Amino acid sequence: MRFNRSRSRIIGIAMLWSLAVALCGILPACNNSQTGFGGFVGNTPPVPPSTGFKVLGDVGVPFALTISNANSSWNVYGVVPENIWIVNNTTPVRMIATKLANNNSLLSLEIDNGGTILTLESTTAAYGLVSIQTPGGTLNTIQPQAVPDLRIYVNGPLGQRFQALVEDSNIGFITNTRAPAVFLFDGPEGKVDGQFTQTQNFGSFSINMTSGVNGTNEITTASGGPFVIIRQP
Amino acid sequence: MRLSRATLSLVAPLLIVSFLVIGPILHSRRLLGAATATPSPGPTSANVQVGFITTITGVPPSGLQNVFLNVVAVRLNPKPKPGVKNQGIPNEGDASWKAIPVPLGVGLGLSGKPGDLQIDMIAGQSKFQTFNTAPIRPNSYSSVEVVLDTAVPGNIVPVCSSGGGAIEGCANYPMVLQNPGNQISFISANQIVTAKNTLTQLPLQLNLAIVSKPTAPNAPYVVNVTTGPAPNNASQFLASVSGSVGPASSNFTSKNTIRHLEVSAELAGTNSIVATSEVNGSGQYTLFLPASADLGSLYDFFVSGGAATYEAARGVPGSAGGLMFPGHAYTQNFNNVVGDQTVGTIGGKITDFCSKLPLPGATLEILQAPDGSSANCATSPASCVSVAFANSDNGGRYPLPGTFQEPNYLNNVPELPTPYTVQITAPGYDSQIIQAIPSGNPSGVNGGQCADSNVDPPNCDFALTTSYITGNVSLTAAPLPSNSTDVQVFAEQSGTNNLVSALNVPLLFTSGQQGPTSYTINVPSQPGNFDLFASAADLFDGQPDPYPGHSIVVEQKVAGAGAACQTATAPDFDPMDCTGHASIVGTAINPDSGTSVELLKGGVALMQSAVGPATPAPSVGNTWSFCAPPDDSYTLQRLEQGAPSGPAATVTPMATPMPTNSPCPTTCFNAGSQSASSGTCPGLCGTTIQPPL
Repeated sequence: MRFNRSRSRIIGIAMLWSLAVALCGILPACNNSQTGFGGFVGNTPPVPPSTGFKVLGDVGVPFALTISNANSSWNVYGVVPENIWIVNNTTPVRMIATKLANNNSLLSLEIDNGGTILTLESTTAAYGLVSIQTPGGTLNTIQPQAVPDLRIYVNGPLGQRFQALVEDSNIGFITNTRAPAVFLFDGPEGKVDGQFTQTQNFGSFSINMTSGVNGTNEITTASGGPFVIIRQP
Repeated sequence: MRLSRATLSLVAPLLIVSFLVIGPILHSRRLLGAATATPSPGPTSANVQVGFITTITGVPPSGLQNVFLNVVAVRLNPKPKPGVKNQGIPNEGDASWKAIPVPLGVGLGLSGKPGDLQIDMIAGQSKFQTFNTAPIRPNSYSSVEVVLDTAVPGNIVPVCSSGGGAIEGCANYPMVLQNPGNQISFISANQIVTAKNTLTQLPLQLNLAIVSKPTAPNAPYVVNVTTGPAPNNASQFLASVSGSVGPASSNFTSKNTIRHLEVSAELAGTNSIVATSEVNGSGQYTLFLPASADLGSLYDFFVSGGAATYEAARGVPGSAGGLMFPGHAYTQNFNNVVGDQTVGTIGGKITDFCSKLPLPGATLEILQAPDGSSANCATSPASCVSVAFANSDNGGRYPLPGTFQEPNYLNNVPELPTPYTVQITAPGYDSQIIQAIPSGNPSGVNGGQCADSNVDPPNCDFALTTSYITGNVSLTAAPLPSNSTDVQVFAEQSGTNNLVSALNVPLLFTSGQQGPTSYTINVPSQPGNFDLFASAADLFDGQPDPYPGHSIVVEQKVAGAGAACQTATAPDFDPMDCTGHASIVGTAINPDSGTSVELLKGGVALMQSAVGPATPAPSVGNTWSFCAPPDDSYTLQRLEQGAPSGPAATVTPMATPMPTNSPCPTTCFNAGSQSASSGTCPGLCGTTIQPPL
C-alpha cells in the first residue's frame, strides 16, 4: 500500500512536471514577459516591453522614411501602414518621413511602448514632411546607415497579429505585432533567423529577408502559416 | 482504487494546468473578438458610421496653425434605459460599452488598442471627418463616449505672436486635459438605433476649449474637450447616397478569398476612398459623404467585390455637374453588375527601368469608364474611375497580401475576355498604362497576362522609366558639434504646385559639413521643366520641429533631362541660412470653401493654406496663415479651386527673430551671411500681417 501510494505520487509528480514542461513549450517566451509585448528570450528576468515605430494614416499612401537610433540609421520605403521594429535597439530614436503623395491624405508617425502611445505626429500636406522622436532624449544627429543592413519584411496578411522571435547568435527579440511589419537588426552577430507565429488566421505569411541598404535586395523568402521560420542563408 | 487515487491526485494539477492553458486562449479570443471588430463592416451586420465636426474656443482660430486631437475610440452603451430615472452615464468599466475603434491601418496596435487617429480640429470646423464605419450589435444605445488618449491627448502649433510673446510660435506644444479623469460623453436625447442590414449615421461634435496657453518652453496647452450630437445630425455637412446594385447575383454574400460586394466613394479622379458601404442581402447600399455647402462635392463611385463585374459612376444623377450638396439624399443605382464571375489575379513585379532595382510603393489602378461615358481609359485616364488598386512591396511585387476575408483588389479581378486598363504610377517616375487580363489563383503575386509588358511578357512585370536632376545644397554654416541638419529636396512641375517627387533619403549635414552636398532626385523623363526647392527638418528644444528654422531655397524652371535614365544638372541652391521661425497671416475677401492661398518664393510654389473656417462652420472666418522661415522674397497668390485668382502680392517685410546666444533652442545657428551677428541662434519668432487678398 505504501509502495502503491508512493508510486501514485511519483506518477502524479512526474505528470505534473511533464505538463509544466509542455506548458512552457506551449506558452511562448517562458520565463519572460508574458504581456505579449516584448522581452529577450533566454534565462533572464522579465524585461520592459519593447518600443515600436509605426507609419499610419490613409492606407496605401506611399512614404520614404529614415529611422535612426543612437547607433545606426535605415531608409524604409513603402506604403501605409507599416510596423517598424529595431532589434537590439538603443534609444533615442528619430524618424523623418516624407509623404510621397500630392494630396491631403493623412500620414502619421507613432511611437509606442507595450501598446501605449508615447508620441504621435501627422501631416496632411502634399509631400508633407513629418518627424518624431522617442520621448526623454534627443538624437542630435542621424547616425550612419546600418552595416550590415539586415531586415526581415513580414508583408502580410494585412492586419494579421503574430508573435515574432528574431535572433542572431547572441540575442533574441520577441514582440507581438501586426503585419505588415519590418524588423531592422542593429549590429547582428552571426546568422539571423526569424520565427513568426500567427495568433489569428487571416491568411498566409509572406516574408522576405533582405541584405544591403534600402531593403530591396532579397536574400531569402518564406511563406505559409501559422508558423513560419526564415533563416539567413 | 489505487489507480483512481493516482488519477485523483492528478485532478487538481490538471485543472490548474488546463486553466492556465485555456484561460489565455479564451482571453485571447476575447481580444481577437475586439480586434476582428476592427477591420470592416459586414453586409448583414448592424453598422455605424462615426464622424466628427469640431469647434475650437478660447483662442482666435487665426492664432493656431495646427491642432490635432488623438482619439482612441468611440463607445456606445444602451444604458440608461429610457424612462429610468436617476441614471447617468454608465461608468468606464460598465460591461455594456461597445467600442468603435480606430480603423485598422489608420491605427495599428494590439489587444483592442488599434492606436490613435489624429483628428484635425481646424479642418473639422468646416468639414466632416469620418472616424470609422464598424459593425455593432443591433440595439438601442443611449450613451455616447469619445475616448481620448489621456496620456498623449494631442498637440497644438500656434503661429508666432504679433507683438512678441513669451513662447515660440510655429513649434509643437503638447496638450493636457484639464480633467483627464472625466468622461467625454453625453446621453443622446433620442436613442441611437442600430439594426441588421442598416448603416446608422452617428455624427458627433467635438468641442476643444483652450483653458490656458503655455507660458514657458515645452509647457502644455491645458484644454477641455466635450462632445455632443452634431447639430441637425450634421445635415449641413453631409449628404447621403443610396441605391441598388444588380441585376441580382447569387454571390452577394461573401466567402473566404472573395471580397464583400461593396460600393465605394472616392474623391473624383483619385483612388482616395472616402466611404465604403457593403451591399446588403437585398442589393441595397447607403453612403454618407461630406459635401461642400457652397460649391458642392464631386465623387467617383464604384462597385467591386462579390465576384461581380465592376461598375463605375462619376457624380450623382439629377444634380448639375454630378455635384453633391449637404442635406440632400441622392440615388445612384448600378444596374450592370453581373455576379458569379471567376476571379483571378493581376500580379507581378515593378522595377526601375534604369537601375533594374525593385520599386517599392508603386501604385497600380484598374481604370474603368463611368456609366454613360465612352472615354478610352488608355488615352484619357483622368476621365475614368479607379475601381481597384494595389501597391508594390519592398521587393517590387504586387499586390500586397490582403486577408481571407478581404483579399487585395488585384487578387479578386473578374476574368473577362477583354483586358483591363491598368495605370502604374510612382513618385518621380513616368506613369505607364498597360492592358492586363487576370488569371490564376485569387491570392499571391503571380497571375495575369500582360502582352505589353516591357520586362517579361506575358507576365505582368513592368519597369518604370525615370530621369534625374542633380545639384548641390549647402548651408551658411555647418551644424554645431554632435549635431546635424537634414534637408529634403522636392520637385514640382514648373509653374504649378503639382509636386512629383522628393528625395528618398534626405541629405544629412553633420558637424563640420557645410556643403556643398550633392543630391540626385528622380523626376519623370518626359521633356519639361521642374521647379525645385529644399527645406530642412530641424530640431527645436531637442524635439523634431514641425516647421523649418532654415531658409527654404528654390530653383525655378530647371530643365529635365528629357529622356529615360538621363541626368540634368540644376544650378546650385543658394546656401540655406538659419533664420528661425516666422509666420504670415492675413485674410481673404469674400472667400468660399474653394478659396486657398499659396506661398511662393522666386515663382516656386512652396505651400498652401486653406481660408476659413469656411461655411458651414458655426463660426465662419476668412483667415489664412503660414509658418515659414523669414524671407524677403515671398509672394502670395490667391487660388479659387486651385486656379490663380487675381494678381500675386509681395509679402511685406517679415519679422525676423532677434539673435540670441543662450539658451539656444534650435540646432542651427547663424553664420552671419544674412544676419548681423555671427554664431548666434534665432530668438523668439514674430508674425507678419498681410493686407487682405
